[in-house]
Amino acid sequence: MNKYMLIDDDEFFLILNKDIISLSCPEQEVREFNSATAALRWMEETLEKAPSDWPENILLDIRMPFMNGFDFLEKLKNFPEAAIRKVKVFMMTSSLDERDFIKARTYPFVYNYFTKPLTMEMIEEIENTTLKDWKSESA
Amino acid sequence: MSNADKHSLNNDPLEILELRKKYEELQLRVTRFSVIEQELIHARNRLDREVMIYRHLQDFNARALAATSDTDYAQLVAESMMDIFELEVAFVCIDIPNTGDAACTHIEGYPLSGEQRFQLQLYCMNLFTDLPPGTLRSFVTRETDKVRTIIPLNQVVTIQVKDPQLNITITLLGGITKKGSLFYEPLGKDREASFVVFSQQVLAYQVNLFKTQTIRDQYRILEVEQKRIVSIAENFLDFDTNPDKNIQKIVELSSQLMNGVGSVYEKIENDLLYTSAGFDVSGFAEKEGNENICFKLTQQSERDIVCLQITEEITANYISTWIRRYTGKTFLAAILRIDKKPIGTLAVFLEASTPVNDNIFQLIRILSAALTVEERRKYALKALSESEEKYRMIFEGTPNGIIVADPDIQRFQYVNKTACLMFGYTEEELLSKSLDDLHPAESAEQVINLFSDMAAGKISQARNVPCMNKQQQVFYSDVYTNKISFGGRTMQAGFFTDVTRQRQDQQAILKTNIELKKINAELDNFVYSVSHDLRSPLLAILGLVQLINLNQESQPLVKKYIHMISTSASRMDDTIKEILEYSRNARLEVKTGEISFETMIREIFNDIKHLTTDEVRLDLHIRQTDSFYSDPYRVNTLFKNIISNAIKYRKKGKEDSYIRIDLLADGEQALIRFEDNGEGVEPEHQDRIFDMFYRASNSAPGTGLGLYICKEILNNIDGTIALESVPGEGAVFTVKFANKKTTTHE
Repeated sequence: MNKYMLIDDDEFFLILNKDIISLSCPEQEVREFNSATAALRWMEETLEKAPSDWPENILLDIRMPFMNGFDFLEKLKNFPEAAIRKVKVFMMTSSLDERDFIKARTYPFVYNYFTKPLTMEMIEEIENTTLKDWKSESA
Repeated sequence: MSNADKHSLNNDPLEILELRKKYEELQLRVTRFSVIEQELIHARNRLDREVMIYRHLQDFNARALAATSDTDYAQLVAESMMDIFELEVAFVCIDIPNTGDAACTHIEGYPLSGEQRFQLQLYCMNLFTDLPPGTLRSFVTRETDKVRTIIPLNQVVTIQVKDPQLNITITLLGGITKKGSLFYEPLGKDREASFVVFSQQVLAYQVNLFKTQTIRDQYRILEVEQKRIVSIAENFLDFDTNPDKNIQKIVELSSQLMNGVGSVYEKIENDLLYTSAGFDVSGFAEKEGNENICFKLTQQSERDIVCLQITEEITANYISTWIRRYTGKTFLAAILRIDKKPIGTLAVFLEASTPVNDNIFQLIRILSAALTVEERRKYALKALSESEEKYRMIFEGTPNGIIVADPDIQRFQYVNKTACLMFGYTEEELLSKSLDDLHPAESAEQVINLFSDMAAGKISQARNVPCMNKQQQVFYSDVYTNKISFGGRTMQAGFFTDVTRQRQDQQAILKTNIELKKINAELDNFVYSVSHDLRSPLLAILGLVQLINLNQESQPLVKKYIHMISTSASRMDDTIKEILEYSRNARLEVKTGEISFETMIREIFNDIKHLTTDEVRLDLHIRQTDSFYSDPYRVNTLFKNIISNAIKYRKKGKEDSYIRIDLLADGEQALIRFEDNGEGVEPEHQDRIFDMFYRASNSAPGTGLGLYICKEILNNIDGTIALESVPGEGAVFTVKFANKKTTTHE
């Protein structure tokens, strides 16, 4: 069973994405966060108190107020490497800016880059994506 | 008495006889003694006279040597004759040939009328004409009759002596009335002899005088000649820097030197005449055919120096011209040449009597050479002044400020108008300034070093040199320096360009540029935000539509409406995407990267083939000989737009819709041909299909931006696009753009 984490400031997309995921794989556990800060806070707590709830797939919006998707990725770097290695981040954005795409690819834990809206095909692709053994920056 | 007394006392007859005898002897002796005494007295008198004559002669000799003129001498001779020979009348006639004057005569002791003098002179000249020439003509005559018809004289003694070489004839005529005169008695041989000697002496002195006078005359002539030559020499030495004046001078000299009537220098080029003062050439240009007469005359000979007599025959050839005035004169002329080409003729007109000798030829040769030199100088000066004039024109006409400085004396020699305007000084003021005045004090050292480096040839230009005008305002100038020949000297020329405005403009441009970049970045950010914010709700709609479609329970009518909502939202999303593409192409810098055509085209095709449910075939042919670099994002957009057009405007319902792409890429460029069998483009639309918002077909949704963006992209990546189409059969887009490999990876 995969654990999904949805981060988007737009409530519509949170609902939409949760429904789509539920439609394709009804047994998934999906957590929604309408801000990156809230998501981070939850992840810190989870890592400490309930590591079993640690998410596997994060669908991350880029453009968000206060802390955007890239700020979130930076913060994610601060988590223990072992924890990050278990995470697959998928960028979900309405941006067509190539620069965002290029930038996102510099993070080893970002696995793919999708343009909204989330489709059944995309969920299928996410489900088929396996964890890879990426090299850390220090190594 | 006492002795006689003694004898008488003796009275001896024998003694008396003896005494008588002695007495008689004594008496005889006394008589003889008296005769001797008489003779002695006579002799003494004669001696006295001889001494007198001798003294007179000596006196004459002394005075004759001092005589300076023929008339003075004739008077002296006449006076001396009277003194020496105790004459009452003395007439002297000296006849010197070739003097032009009548014989010089003088009479002492008798007042002669003019007529008498003439008659007497005639008499003297006709004397002894029958004598053979070459003999010493020294004869004494006592013929009186002829003379007595002129002046009443008892006796006349005449002698005529002649110098056969100089042909000087002197006639001395003495009139005697006095009894005691030497000639009163019939002439003794000795008297005659002394008269002859005297006359010879007179002749000798006259010859001497003549020769002295001749020498003196010659000396005088030489003196005059010398003065003339000296003045000529001075004239030559006094030559002007102006060749025209010198030419006139030489022409003047030509006539003077050769004692000519006048001289003329004729220039062939424009038939211009220079003449010596007073030489009349009036009317020389009035008749045709009279041009260059001197040159024509000199051409009668093959030599460059010609001497000929101007005859009527010659002047007859020239109708009514000035040359006729000089008929009968000698024409002496030399042709002047520069580089073998004749430029003129120097002609001197001489009196026919003037002998033309080697000296004169030499003279005209020298004078014509001097003229040629002046003409050469004139050409050289003209060329020089022309080149200076050219310089001046260039200097005055240029928008650069020009200052020419003499580095040796650290002074400005020339400034042009622009420089005056630039520095705000008048020409005189600027010329009197130095470097310190033209540059602000704080940068004086820098400027002086700069100019000394320039003078040394180390650098030739400097940018943004601080300068200061009369109002002490600082401005900036680019300075370029060069060595130039100015007035025959090498000087340093500085060319100033006021770049203050440029500097200001440049700074303004830089500032604007920074602002523009900022605005651009803001705009980019804005477009980024807007596109995101506009698309977000649309994408939400599309997501919701998808969810509804997944819900199997939906009613068919609702599904139909939902589909319409989906199509509408997609179109709006397409429009936003295209506007974003256009905006990004226009603003974003070109980023070069390697392009894999195969992958790129296949990805694009796979992404957009779902635009239709119809089958569209991709036929891709790539021939690539070198790695290819361009802006991948732009090339991607370009290809996507062309391929999507081919799909969107396929022929609906046709079975084998295809797009055939032939790509040829090498180190220079990529040449791509997109061929489809779609609906094509009507000819009237073909020219405008690349215009902004222009839509040639309504068969599929669109914004009219796609091909416009393609054209704009190709402008950015050094490429072109062209269309060929037969409506109803298909369209061919030919795209060409440069391989940037060399500019990025070398």
